[in-house]
Amino acid sequence: MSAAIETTGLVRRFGRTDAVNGLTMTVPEGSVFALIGPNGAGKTTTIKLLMNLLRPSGGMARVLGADVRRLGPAELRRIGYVSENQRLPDWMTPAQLLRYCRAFYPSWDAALERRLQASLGLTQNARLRSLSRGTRMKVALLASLAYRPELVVLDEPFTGLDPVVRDELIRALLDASGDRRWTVLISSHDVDEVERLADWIAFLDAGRLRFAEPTASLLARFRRVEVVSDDPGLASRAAAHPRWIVEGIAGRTLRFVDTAHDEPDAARGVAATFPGADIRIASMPLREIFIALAGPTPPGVQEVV
Amino acid sequence: MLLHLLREDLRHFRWPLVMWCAVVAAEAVATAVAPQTAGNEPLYAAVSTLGWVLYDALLLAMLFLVPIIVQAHPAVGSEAFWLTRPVPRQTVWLEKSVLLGAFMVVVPVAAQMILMATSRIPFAEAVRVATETAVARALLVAALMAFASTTASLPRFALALAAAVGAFLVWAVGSITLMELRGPSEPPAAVALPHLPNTMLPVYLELGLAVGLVLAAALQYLTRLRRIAVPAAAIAIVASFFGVDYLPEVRPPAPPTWTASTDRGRLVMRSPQLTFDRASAWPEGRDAWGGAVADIGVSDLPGGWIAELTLLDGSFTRPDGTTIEGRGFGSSLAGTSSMSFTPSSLLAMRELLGVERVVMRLPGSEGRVPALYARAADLQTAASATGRYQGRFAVSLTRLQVVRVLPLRTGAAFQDGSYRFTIADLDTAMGRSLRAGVIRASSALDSAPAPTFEFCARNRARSEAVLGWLTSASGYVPGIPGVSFGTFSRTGLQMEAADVVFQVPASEETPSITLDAAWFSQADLVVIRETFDGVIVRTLDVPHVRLDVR
Repeated sequence: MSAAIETTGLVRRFGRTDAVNGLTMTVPEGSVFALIGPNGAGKTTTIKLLMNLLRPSGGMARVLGADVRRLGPAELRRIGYVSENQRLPDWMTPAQLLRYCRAFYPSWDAALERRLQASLGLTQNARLRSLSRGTRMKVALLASLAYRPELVVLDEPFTGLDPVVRDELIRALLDASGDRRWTVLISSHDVDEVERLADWIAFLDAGRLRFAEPTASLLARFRRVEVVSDDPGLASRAAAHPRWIVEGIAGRTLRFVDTAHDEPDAARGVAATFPGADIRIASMPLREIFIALAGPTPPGVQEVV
Repeated sequence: MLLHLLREDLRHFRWPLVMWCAVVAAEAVATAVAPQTAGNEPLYAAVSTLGWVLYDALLLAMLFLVPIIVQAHPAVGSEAFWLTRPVPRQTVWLEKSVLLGAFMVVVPVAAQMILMATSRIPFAEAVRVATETAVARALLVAALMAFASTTASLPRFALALAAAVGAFLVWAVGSITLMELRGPSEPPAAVALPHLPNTMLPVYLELGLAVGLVLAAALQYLTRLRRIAVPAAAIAIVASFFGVDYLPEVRPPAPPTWTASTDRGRLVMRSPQLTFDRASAWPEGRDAWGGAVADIGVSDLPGGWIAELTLLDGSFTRPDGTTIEGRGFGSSLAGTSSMSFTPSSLLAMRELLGVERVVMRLPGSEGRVPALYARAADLQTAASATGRYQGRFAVSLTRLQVVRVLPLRTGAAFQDGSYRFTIADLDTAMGRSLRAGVIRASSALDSAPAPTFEFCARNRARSEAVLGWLTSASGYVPGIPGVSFGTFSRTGLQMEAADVVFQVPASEETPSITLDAAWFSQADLVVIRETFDGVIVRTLDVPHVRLDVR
């Protein structure tokens, strides 16, 4: 598996704050790789480092084989970038923006442009500054896909958009990729959409990578466990387990998240820890995994990384 | 790519740029029309005021246009759209430089070239004037571009610019205050060698600063790091200030061939006396210096030449062998000066004009030139002593030539090189002045100082002439102080109305001439060209001179 993006010990400091702290991560070629994490986790900073919009304070990063410090026009022709923070040239109309961008890309696909335009319903001819946020994001996405980039980088593309527009964007992204698998790096709070899209998930917290793994593996690994028992030592036994995140205890019911339920004998291990208890184990959607990880850090959680 | 970016910026900024061009054209028209309206006082005032208002409007527009054009593709921050597109950064910088250069430099300079062409300014002179204007404008654009490329928005640009201007003012006021507090410790700098003010120096400086600041903007685009671009700009500014001294300067024109003969242009001390006025010593205290003056003239000048003396060094040796060593005195030689007419120049004028009586506005005080500049204490010690005086002087030569005789009537005109003069109106009621439209072009890049012109009303029948006093008719200039750069320059293109006033001072030294309508009805206007024609060094050695101290 070759890597579209590779970072080793990547660091970015703002004053005394480490926005990104020793990030080592690999984005496999052809994957849809999601960066998730709470606010201030360092997702946007990481993406800006990868796009050479910020300079690393330390470490190394390569995008499409090029050192990010030397990311130039040749590499940028192969990358599509859409960000909620991006200052679009808002004096342009969508048509003008597309004409402006077209000249930069020899690989610009006019047919794809028309198809995306139709599927996104982009018919407005007003200046970008007077368009809705959703429409602006659609235009930005169109201007970043029409040249068939090898890598698409999306920084919080769904923030503040209604579900219909989100769906349109995702469909456009999937439609544009067609048979050819693009590498997509997406950072988002919208874990429901990420779960639909991503086949790899990376979780960033306070500038550090907690984990990065295939979505299927992640979903297989995390389980919510409910233990009902009269045993007064339920909580202490669960807290002692390095791979479990205790969510709380209410009366006779203990709830925790098993972060390694894919390991052999994991279910037996739970049963052995709580003999005689009534145990219910349920799979978790990504949203719940995110909340469990992004909530107050329970003891032993660092072991999860 | 460059053309694509240019097209997009032109499309985006088409209306501001069209407005800019319109104002440039309007300003040029107002400038061109101003001297044509010289005969109509209210109209001239309105047109010239409009010209100045438009000129200042253009400068203020630059403060707005440069940042918005540059910041359309900002070189700071991480949110700009273009940064994530395959656009070479150097291409964006080049595109901005080309666009700003074309509109902020080339368009106004082209307008100026058209003005000069229509005014029949010689092409070579027009090119030099346009080059000088282009360099000055390029500096302003480069400075604004450097500020704009290191800031993300118009308010931040304004803040940065205000901070820089404020810092400069604080530095200037602080420096002046410090100098005032310290007080003078040295006498005024002396002239070591005869030289002209280096007119190229400001041009070199402007060019160096412009190139440095544009490169600093380029660095900002390439690195997007202010910590690199801002120090680079500071280094460029410092290097420009120090570097100009090492560049070649304009040399004075070679003196005329007759100066090879030491018999011509000899120095003569008419009265063997040096006079030192203690009150003229400066600064106060023990280290005071002062100048002893003497009646020194230049003999055997060819007709039409006048001379001005500047002391290079001098000494006074008493019979006992003690010597007072002096140093040079005087400002640098500023070329021809219409203020320096002396009895010998009066004589030259009489010869030129072919009249017996000439009234000049400054009768002159020829001969009383500083001859020994030394420590006041030394001069006082030698009070009333007689000794040998030796002096070395720079003699700057000015040639006077009649270039045209005009009838004193409206519409009479003459052009000499890049100087054009048209009589627009005669004050016949008073009979003492005329209004003229004047166009002149000169440049710091000229190989020799531009000639100046004197205007004499001459009445051949009475064998009398009166030298006129030429003053600009623009009494009020609504320029913005500190912004209207170039307006304080002596070079460039000037198109304006001027008054030539003829007056006979009430003085015993001047002939009694009654200037009235009858006198002027018989008079013509003689145009005299003054050309600075080089500097020669002459020595003076007088064995017995008395040093008087007053």
